[in-house]
Amino acid sequence: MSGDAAGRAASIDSSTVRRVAGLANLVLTDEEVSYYQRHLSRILDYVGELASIPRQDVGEFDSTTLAFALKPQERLDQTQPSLDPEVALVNAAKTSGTTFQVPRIID
Amino acid sequence: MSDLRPFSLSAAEISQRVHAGDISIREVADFYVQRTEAYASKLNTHLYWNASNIAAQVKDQESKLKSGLKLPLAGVPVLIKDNICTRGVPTTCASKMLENFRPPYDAHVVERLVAAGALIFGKTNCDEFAMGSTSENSAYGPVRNPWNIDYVPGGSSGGSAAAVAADLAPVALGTDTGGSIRQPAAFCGIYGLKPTYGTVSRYGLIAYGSSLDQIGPFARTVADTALLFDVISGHDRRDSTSRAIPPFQTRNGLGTADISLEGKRIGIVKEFFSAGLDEPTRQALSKAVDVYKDLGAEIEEVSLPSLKYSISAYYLIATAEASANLARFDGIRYGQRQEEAGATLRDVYQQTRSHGFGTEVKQRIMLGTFVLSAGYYDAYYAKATAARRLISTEFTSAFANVDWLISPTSPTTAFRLGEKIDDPLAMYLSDICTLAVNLAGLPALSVPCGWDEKGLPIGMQLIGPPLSEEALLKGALAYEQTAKHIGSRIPQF
Amino acid sequence: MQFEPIIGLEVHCQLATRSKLFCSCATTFGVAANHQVCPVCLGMPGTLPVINTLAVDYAVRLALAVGAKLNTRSIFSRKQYFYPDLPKGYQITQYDQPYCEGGEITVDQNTRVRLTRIHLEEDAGKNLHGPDASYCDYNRAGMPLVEIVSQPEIGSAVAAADYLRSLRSLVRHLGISDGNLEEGSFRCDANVSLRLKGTSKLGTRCEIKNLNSFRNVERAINYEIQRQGDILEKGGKIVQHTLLFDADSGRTAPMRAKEESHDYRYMPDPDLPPLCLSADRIEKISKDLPELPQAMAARFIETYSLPDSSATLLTSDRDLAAYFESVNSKVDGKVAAKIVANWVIGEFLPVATELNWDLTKPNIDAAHLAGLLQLLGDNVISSKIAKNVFEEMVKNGESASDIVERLGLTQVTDQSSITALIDQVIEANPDQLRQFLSGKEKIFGFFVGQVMKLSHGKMNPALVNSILTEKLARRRE
Repeated sequence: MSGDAAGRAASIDSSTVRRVAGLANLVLTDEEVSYYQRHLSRILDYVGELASIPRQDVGEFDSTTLAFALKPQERLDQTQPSLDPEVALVNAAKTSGTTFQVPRIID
Repeated sequence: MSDLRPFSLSAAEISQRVHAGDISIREVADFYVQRTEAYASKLNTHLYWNASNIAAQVKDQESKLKSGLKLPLAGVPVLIKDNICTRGVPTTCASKMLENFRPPYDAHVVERLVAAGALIFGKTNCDEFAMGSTSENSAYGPVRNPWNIDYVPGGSSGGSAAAVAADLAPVALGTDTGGSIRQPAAFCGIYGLKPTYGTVSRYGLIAYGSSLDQIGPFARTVADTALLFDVISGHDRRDSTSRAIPPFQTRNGLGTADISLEGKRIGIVKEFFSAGLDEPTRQALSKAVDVYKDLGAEIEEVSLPSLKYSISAYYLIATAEASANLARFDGIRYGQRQEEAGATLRDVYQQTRSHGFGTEVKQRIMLGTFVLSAGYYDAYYAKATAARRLISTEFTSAFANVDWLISPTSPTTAFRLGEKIDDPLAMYLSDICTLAVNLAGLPALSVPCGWDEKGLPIGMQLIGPPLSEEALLKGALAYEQTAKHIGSRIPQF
Repeated sequence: MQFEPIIGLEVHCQLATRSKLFCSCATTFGVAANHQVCPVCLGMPGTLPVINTLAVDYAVRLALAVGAKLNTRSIFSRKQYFYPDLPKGYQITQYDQPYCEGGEITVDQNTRVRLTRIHLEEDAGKNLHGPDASYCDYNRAGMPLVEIVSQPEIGSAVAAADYLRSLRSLVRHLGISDGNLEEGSFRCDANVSLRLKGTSKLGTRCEIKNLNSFRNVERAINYEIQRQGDILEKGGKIVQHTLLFDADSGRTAPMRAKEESHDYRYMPDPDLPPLCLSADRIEKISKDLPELPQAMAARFIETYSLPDSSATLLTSDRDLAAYFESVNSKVDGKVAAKIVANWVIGEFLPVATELNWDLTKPNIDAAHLAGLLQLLGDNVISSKIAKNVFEEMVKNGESASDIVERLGLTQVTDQSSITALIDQVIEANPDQLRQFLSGKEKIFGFFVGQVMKLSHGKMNPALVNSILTEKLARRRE
């Protein structure tokens, strides 16, 4: 089991490691699961100290918790030339015509 | 002919002499090509460099010079950390994932350097995707510290730092998310500046922790640090987090810098000085503080209790952002791809990512994925953000009473290659002095201030309020002109 | 057991800006694959989003038009999942702090549907499927979208289609989207569940995705209501699914054999500052709001004495409404506005639709149609002849008066020639006369027909009528 709502951090178990790896599209050997479980557990135990910080209003949360606020920036609705398709595709391992090819997706 | 000798040239001097016709861009390039050929492999600082590419650039810059353009970095070789995009030239982030990736565009900072007359001299080695503190996490071998090649140069920008320390180029760019410019600067005995968040465009910087990352300069003089920072700073419309300000002109300010620090108030951050400092570091910092006292500054102790949360806040926020930033690496549009016969889409994703990312990167991706996953956001990510706000607020209050803060850049000097690589948490804990600065988005400069008994460099960190780079550089200059460290020793490798 | 359907609709509507939401690629439809992409919308490493100011203005316009509550400060979030049409591995959208909430769509005078929220987000690319592989085209990646979410309070498939028609008409009216279902600039997902009548607890819902015509929306929802009803009647349980509608079979079916529930791991996007809407900006957009469809329809009913249905139809398209008003003003009272409306709806619109005319510059412009209607109003031609003239106008773009002159279609209103022809027709048809006089009133129409035939329709019908009536009445005596 892992941390509860109060943030009391506990170890992360191997099934959680596998689930998280799955979410991140990583395949792990058993050895790796064990390795990451060990290290992630230690880290999560350490960060459990954050539990003592009072939670603030949801409305306060955003990325700009810097010592200053970022000002909004917007761009005029004007077009610029797009990339040549050859250039767009030049780094791709597998292409077909001017598309990027992937194994067949079944919907 | 060339009287060019190692460790004798600064970027400012090169540019000035090139403009004066004293030396040619070609001569400068040849000199540094030789240095690179001789030492880059040994130190493993470079991931890419190409003599004919450099020759072509030399031609371009020579004709710009001839046409009468004023070029602040005329003929100056600059090395670029390999997580910064350079058009048509491999940009790998020291990862297998991007082994042959050639971006179709230049980063903003690269455009600025080239416009200023610089030669993009190569791409430097680093920790994979900038995740690490020793440059041992590279898929292409670790970087070595020129002061002792069995020791780490620091990270993640170890290649750039080591190269400048070894004079394979007079200046270089690194990136700093939690200390990745400052700490290698300290370990390598040079200057490293992490600018105020938003003063240097991140367009073309392959993102790790988007709200923490900044590109900054390495140099062996304060003047060069200022020169490079001026060139790369300023608004870029392609980066929405880029501040709407013109490029800095700190260089101008330095010329008239007076040594006296009468009236300046310097804060010693109590929490950084109790963090397991080794004895040489403690002594070097103490001596440095004395220098500032003698120059007339008022020293006072400052306490920022929330700093104790820095490591936790940093590692949760940075990895959360990184887990999203690295989701685009899936083998479909760029980067290497692992696809066996009969593979499904999910196979391609999983094999590509498992094969392409190294251990530390995977660990951070998983940590970040976990803290954002359903049911854990509040306990981890939200709390980390709250801690971040506390830290930022405390810094702001501190700066109401002092002009800048001082701390060691790192609690210890460089350690041996392999010494900490098996203990990620211990590695994270060694960043205690630098992380909080990124959380608050402040500018900070690492200043060389001595060596330990092994001959390894020690760095002190000057932290200032937002946009105070010029003041920090002046403070560093005052120190340097008094203590006279730089150039008093050179690394043997 | 009595169940009632509960339907909620989500519409993804593409904003008609020139460039994409976060980069400067063009937004033209139908361009060859990957010819409209750049490092930003391809999600190349090191690239960053910069928001399109006009897209924000359009989004605000919509919020004001539906009476939503604007949040002066909102943030963008990353919605993370892996799919080939999503180049960054996450979509930039708005999650817990959208730019507006609430509001409602007026379907007609008695029907309003409330909205939960509207938010801004970028579109994904397109996956094309072949027999052995799939192919990704990122032209559409990064297009600006507003996602409009209704409350789950629509009660039938028909009501759902009506809601969608109204919403589509609104976005076209506002000029923020062309609302084209076939081209994918207006995409509908329907959430359908059944609820026991008289209770308030909502049942398990299924989502039907990507319905590409109003007709299919109705068919799919009706099928789904039936399907769920059948299960519940038998005492079964509804399993939550994401469904696709097969237009050929008329059935819904689950999208994937195994349903994966997504953990989207939303987080604020650190590359974008909060979206701040100043009072000045909102005020300016508010002032520039065009007349909304409902207000325009009400005005048409009042000013032009049009019936509800005509007003609604004309105002469903801003350009059509403008065309009607232009024709009407040029006609200058010679025919009633009602007649103008009938002509625009009944004759002009079908042709314009079939021939795909741009309603802002159709082949028969307002002046031309007005010209025709003036001739009608002046009794130069009869209504039937006018229709023939219109057909000619469509064919060769001539003015009405030119055609009338060329074909000699001017109406005959001279009573003596009408009388003479009527006498002739009566004389020539003694059997029919006897039938009429013996009480078969319907034979009247036969005589009218004969007069029209022999006069090639050119005799004024009203005069023919009155003179014929008189003549036949005299015969009775």
